[in-house]
Amino acid sequence: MPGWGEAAQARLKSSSVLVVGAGGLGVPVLQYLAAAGVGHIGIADGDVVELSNIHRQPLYDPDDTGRNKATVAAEKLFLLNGEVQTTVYSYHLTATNAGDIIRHYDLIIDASDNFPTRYLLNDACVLLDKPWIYGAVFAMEGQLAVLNFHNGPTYRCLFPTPPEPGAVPDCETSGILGTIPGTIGMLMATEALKILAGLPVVMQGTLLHWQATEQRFDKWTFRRDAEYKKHVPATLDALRQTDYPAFCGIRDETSVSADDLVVQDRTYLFLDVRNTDELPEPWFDHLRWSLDEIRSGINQPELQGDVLVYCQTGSRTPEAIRLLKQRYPDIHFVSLQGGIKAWQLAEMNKRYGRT
Amino acid sequence: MKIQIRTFGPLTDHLTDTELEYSGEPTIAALRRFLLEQYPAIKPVYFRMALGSRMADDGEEIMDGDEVSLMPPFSGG
Repeated sequence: MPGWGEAAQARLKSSSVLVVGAGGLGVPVLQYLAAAGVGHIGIADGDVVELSNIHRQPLYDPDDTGRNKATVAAEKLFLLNGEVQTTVYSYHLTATNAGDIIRHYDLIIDASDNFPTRYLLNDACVLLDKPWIYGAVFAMEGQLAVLNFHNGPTYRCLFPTPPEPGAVPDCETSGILGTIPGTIGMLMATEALKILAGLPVVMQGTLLHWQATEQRFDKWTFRRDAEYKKHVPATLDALRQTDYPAFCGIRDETSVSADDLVVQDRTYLFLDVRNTDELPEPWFDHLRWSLDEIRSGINQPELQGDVLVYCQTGSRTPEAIRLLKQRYPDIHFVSLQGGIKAWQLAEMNKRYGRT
Repeated sequence: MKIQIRTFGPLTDHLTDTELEYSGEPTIAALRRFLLEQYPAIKPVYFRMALGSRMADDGEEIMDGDEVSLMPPFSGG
């Protein structure tokens, strides 16, 4: 094809892309970037595959249920193209880890499903001078833009203010046809290949909107807003201290960070959902009921009060809590971010006075 | 003056594409205030306003026959 030769293919092979989110948008992006021969693909996602995801994430099959998406995706990409190097981040991008992850990549793809991650990605990309591709879907519609590319406009130039929580429902609550994120993901992958191969890019500073009901595409241009930088943290250190969920008005009362847990004096019943042979051994009173046992309905312990659910790194707790809520509708479940590993580290840091 | 309004995303539940007879102050900011008054249900939905094929700033002037799009950000993925 015109404009695509050995040089373009070599550029792809020597380039690296971070895909944030391995869900409905991330799956087609990952598949096509791997198939096209992008040299290094980072995959960041802390969620596990659920049966209800597969209609819009057909990289996974029912046997993958309960496993971390980033891990499974990397295995499937290896089967697709064994020459692609993948790096798995089996946890969510947070203000704490974003800078250290993003700095290793040429291009960042936002295949996330929430506003805090998008503002975080934007700010980290601005600070590290990385281009990124924004994509998002709503019901029968989708949006796409290339941001922070060659000093072009950023997400904050397009949407300076985050919307109120709950005003824009996500796919889990509103449901969506699998082809909607699939199509937007394909458009994102197309832009990624154009950028990596050095083809002309026209989507910087342009918002593309697709309406599937009418099969209509529209585009609007937007400028770099001189004001936007006032709202981006001044340094990566400042970014690490920024509470993006709070900025987007989301106060998550269903999870607690390890750093908060070690300083607060709330009483919980601690529920360990790891398998019995997993280390570290808890150093506190706890109840052990593995995710496998919860799934198969083995045991039915008596629970009361606030129950803090944890696993090794946090990847298994969402499914565990979802199942537990069905069985114990009156119990308040809280998940521990980063699992017992993060807790152990936080305890050590507290003991040795590190922050 | 007549303004073509186009709505997107969650806004379409409360306000569909329409031709609006508008006689207020001819700026984007004034039109936004007018729309929020006329259609209070759209208040919780944050949206950017576009004039023709570009995103507009609050102070920009609108004219008879303009197409104004109300575009919220999406979050699904």
